[in-house]
Amino acid sequence: MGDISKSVAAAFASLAAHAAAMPVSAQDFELQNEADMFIALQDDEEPLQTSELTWKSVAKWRPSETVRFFLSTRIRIDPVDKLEPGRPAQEMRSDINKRLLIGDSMEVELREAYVALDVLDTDFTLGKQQIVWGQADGLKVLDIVNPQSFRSFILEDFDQSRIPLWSVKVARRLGPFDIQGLWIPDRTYHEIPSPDAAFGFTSLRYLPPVGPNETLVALNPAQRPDRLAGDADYGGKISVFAWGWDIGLHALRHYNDRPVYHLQPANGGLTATPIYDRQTTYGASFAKPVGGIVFRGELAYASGVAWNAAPAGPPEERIIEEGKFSYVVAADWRGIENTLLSLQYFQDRAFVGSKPLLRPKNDNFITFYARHETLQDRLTVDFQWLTNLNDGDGLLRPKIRYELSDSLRFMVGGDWFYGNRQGVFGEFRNVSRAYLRIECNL
Amino acid sequence: MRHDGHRRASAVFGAILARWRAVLIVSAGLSILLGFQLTHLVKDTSIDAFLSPDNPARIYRDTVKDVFGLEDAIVVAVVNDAPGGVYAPDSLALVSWLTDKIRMTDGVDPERVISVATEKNIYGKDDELVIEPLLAPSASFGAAASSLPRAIERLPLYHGTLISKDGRGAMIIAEVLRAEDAEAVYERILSIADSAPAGGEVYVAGEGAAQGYLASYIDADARKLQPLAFVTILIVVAIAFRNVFAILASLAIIVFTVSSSLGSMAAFGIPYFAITGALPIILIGMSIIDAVHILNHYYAKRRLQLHQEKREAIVETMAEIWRPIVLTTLTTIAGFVGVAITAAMPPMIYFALFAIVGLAAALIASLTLLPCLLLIYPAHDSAAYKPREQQTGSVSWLQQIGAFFTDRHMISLAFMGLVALMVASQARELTIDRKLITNFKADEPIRIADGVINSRFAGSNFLDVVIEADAPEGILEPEALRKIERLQEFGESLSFVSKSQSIADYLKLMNRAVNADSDDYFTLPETFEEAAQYMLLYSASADPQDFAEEIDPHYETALVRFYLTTDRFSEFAPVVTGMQNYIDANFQDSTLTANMSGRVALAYEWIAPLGRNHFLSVFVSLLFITALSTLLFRSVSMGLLTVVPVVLTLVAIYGVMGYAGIWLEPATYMFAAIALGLGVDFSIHMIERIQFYMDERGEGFDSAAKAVYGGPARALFTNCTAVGLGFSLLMLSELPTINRFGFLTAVALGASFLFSFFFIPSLVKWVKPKAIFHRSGAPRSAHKSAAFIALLCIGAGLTFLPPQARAEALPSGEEVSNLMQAREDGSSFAVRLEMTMVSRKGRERRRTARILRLDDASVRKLMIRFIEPDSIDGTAFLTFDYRDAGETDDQWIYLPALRRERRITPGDRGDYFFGTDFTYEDVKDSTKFDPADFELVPLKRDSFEGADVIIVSVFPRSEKIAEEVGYSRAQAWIDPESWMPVRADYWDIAGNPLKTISIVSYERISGYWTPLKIVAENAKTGHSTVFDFSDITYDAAIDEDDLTVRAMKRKL
Repeated sequence: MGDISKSVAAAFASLAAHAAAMPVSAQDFELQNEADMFIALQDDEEPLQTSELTWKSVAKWRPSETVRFFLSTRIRIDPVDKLEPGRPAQEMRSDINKRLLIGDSMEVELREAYVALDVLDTDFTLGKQQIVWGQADGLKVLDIVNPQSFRSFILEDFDQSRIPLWSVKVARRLGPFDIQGLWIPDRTYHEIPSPDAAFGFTSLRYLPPVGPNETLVALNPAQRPDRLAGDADYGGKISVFAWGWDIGLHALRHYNDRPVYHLQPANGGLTATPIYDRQTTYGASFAKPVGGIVFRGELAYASGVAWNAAPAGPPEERIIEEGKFSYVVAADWRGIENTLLSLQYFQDRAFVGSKPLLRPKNDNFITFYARHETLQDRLTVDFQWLTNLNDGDGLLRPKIRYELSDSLRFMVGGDWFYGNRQGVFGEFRNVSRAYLRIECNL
Repeated sequence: MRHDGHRRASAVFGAILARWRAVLIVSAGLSILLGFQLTHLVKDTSIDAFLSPDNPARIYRDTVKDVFGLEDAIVVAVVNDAPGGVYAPDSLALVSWLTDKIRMTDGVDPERVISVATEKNIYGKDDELVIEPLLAPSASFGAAASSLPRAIERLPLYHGTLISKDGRGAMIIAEVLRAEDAEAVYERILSIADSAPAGGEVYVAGEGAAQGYLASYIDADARKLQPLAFVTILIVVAIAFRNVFAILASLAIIVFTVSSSLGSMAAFGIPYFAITGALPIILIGMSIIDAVHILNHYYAKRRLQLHQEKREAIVETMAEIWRPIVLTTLTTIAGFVGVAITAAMPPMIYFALFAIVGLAAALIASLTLLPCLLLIYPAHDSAAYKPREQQTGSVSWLQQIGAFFTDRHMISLAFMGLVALMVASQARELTIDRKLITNFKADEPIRIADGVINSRFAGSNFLDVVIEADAPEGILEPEALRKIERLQEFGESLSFVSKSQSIADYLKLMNRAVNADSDDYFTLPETFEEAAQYMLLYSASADPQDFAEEIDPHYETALVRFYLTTDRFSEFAPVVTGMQNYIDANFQDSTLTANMSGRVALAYEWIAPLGRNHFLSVFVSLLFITALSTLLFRSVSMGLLTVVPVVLTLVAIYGVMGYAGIWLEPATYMFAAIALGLGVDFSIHMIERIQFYMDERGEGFDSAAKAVYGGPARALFTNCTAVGLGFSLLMLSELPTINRFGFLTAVALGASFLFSFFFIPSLVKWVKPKAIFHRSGAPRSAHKSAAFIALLCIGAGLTFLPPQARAEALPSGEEVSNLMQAREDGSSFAVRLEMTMVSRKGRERRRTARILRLDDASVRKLMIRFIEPDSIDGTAFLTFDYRDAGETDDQWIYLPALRRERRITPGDRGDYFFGTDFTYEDVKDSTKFDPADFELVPLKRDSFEGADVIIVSVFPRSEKIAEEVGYSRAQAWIDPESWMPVRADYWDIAGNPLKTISIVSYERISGYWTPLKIVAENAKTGHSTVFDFSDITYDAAIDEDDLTVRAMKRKL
């Protein structure tokens, strides 16, 4: 496996070397740097949740009309070290996608590194990259190509929490259609923080299905797919703009980014082994303005999705494999000047019949988002509300962003979780926070 | 032939002298008879007098008056800038006191005094309609001071009319019963204001007041100026001739002339109009012109032939001089004929007609009375006319200059050309305008009051629109009321219209009142029945006469009144034309018709044709004068030659007007024709005398010309001074516009004297017209004549082109819209855009973007992708703008932070684009107004920063579109060459100034008009954005794939 990843890296390097032989002009090359300071306080004896300095660098080089290199790195230093205490094992990441951890509080990550080629009217993007499907805010239906880091649950911008993957993307236009094909050999999955982390998952729905009278004696390392070609994700998308509709059809053969726990009796207790399962997701997306409102939606049907069943019956049988249907419908309204109001209804249905699931069979969410820009977009006031209708819990996210200059921005805001501690949001009640962020382009 | 003519003339004048007694008796008798008629002269200084009685607008207004009883109003304002404003108890007491006093004033219609003390509050209480006085007579002013502000706040109807918007002023509007009493009523109200108790400053103004006061102004003027003119002219004559006889003879001619003119005017029952005041003054000056020439010739003759018998000398003088005198008088008359034929306004027609009568009388007196007086008066000579060797002063000075120009005629002509070009360049700035209130001096109380009222209140100038339904109660139909409401919305969106009032406003109040006073019901009643019931309810609870000014008793005719803050023509003309266009477009069905009336509409009616008529009158006068000169000299080229100096003079005067910012208005309207008529005299005399000396004395051209500078030029100088001074006296008038008329005419006379004096001999010498030179055998040059005529044409062209061009018909809104739309901009386009955003404090932010545009038969695709600064690098905006007007645009935005494109609604097009002062709509194309979405109403042609433009009002076609784009209207200055809107002002939905977008520079690139710099300034925030375009490529090979949603994500 290591050899293969090296060969991918070598191919990338040789392309880069080839392009490097071409003359570089200032206009073709661009370097951007951004430093962010993020300080969050929570209601705790040690109120400082994080005090993180992030340094992001982007290098772009376009040696010719048809070749483009893109490199992006991120360095994070967080002396508080509550989000990912110690040095996480990174076992959800593939070997070529691991971060470089320096001490407990510093990490260096190659975020993106790709070459984009425009050959024969076809765009090839080769290398580590983010591939984004779908348009939903805050919750994901079709944005399933890249896994996500949950070190700050879903509070971090998706652009930063999404884990870029080494992949090949091919896109071209065919008549009115845009066609995209993906091949993703990088077997990296959701990064879920350890239970002792500030946003460690404690809700029963994410834990091994161990009953109250049972004891978990060991949590084994996750069983990850290991074949480069055979276990690679692949899929594609066709999108078209017709009769005023943006329509997309999606299909992806992929591993579920979250494992299911396989339980085995051992030593008077149970052992749990997280295993990644493969599934196929078929999806569709649409968007159309009607009157002053943009209606948009995403649908996804996944076959062969594995879940942990509720802790009842034999431990070995606490896995259910059935289809899953999820969708989001949304309306965006900008009827008020410089203001966006957006409402989304999200449902995730597990077709498990009467089988008992750890999570609700129908998970329902509503999100509301409002944004108002004023002072020539210098000041942006944001408010987001996400709620799970099953548990009645939710998350409120007010935020004010002020742009002092083109290169300096301040943000103050809060992330306030409320509701049932077993709920998706309620479990983080103790880590509700207020924060200040300073972003500076250098 | 000339000798035959001389003999016949001598016989005629000999016969006149033989009957000197009869001549004296007839002259004296006629003077006395016509002088007595003056006692019958009536004054009519109303503005209505400027419209002929059969003018449809005037007839219509009189009809409207019959229905709604609207007479000119005198507006009284109480202003209190102390805390509490006009709601302070003593101010309210003052308003109430003034209202009572004004109601009781003689000449005021007591039913038509409107103030906060007379009007009603309409509100709901327990679902009942309550109508009660705003200021109850029994209530204490202290209590009212606390309750009235709230009541007024709920009655938008009265904002800016009864109470100023800032709450510091209250207005009392009083209509006079008869327009002719306006002056007396104004004086009475002024004296009431003087004795008013404390409570605030009191101002008296309004159209009625202005009219009234104008009348007293004119009276004061006439009393002051006429004797002054009389004395001044006599002094000039005295200095010129140093001889008592000349003074007495002039006096006799002046009396005969003025009494003939004004007396016959009175005899025919023609009233003395506002502008008639100037007639006696100019007649005093013009009447002695002929006499001055005769006396000059006579005394010069006497000087040379000391022993000639007196009678013989007189006959010879008359025989020699009658021809040019008759001719010059005829040319002066021709100038007035031009006015009389072309003027549309009766006061001007009569002014011209009776000026002609006066001029004819002066000519007759000069040809008959003057020689008889000369015969019987004992003294012989003038002390001013000494033998040749004793002459000093002006005469020799004149001769020297004359000799210089005659010898170096080409220098003189080159100088003339230069002067012509200089003045013509200024003439382009001439504007046609009028503002009634500027008839008064700046420190006049009425002008100050007018300023206060128009700045604090909704305005004292009214434009009325009369809506007529085809059946009784038709106005109460919901559709009719909605149309009225929309008309009001439209009107209020126009510049200088601050408010409107109609029955619809009252119905909204009543609808709210009967619906628990809920603001949700501040709307028009939805059904006819509701509207009818409200009117019934009102009449049951209050006086139905309260609506007499808004609707007739049969509910068939309604009056919508618009309040304007200006009475300046150039400012209200766009309102009137815009309103007419709106009416034409929206009131075409048979059920509802609309017509404009009111003071503003009437003023428009008579001022609008002013420009066209002015230039027509100049043209006609010029035609007559040229024809007469041609007849006199029996030569077309001589005829043309004589008018060259006056054409130059006219250009010069237009130049002076343009330079000094003097408007062409009723008071200055006639100067051109008068200046033409008088000015041409100088050239006729010059040429005639040159011809005379060459012919009679057999002299060569040069010596004949120099002889003219010695003799006749002196008479011309005296005349110019006398008449010029006469007109200069008008500068002492109380009326600033009459001042300007006097100034212009005096300058015109001076200029035509100078032009004739300097250039006529040079012109004649250069052209060598056959009529002069064939006799002396000099070769005739055909090409010089042709060149001269061409020069004349160019001169005339320079004069008339600018105003004519401005008077060119306006294209229709649809044409402008289509021409803008038809402006080609290439099938594709790539450009780099630098955006600079500047805050009110001067802080700058910059953005750089690349723009790609690709057009095909059905759609225009546009992508804007930001490249700088880093924080927004990669952000892209894509729009598909379909040619099919029915199809709405598709728009997307790509935000790199989300890595997702987002569909946005075209309804967002009024949102500001990335913090700039341009909206998405502006970014799509700020150089056109899509005809599917906007209606364009051309207002006028004008100049903008030195270039010709067409000013258009731009209205979104529906409220929905207005909401979408974020503005209720715009006014654009469109360059008629490129059809680019070089500037556009926008007003928000509430009608407040929103922003201005200026295309600061643009040029043709690859054959396409391209903006290079556009500036948007936000009127509300003081923020501005500059768009600078560079690296512009048209018709470049842009791949369709580069303008797709997928392409947005590609980072360039």
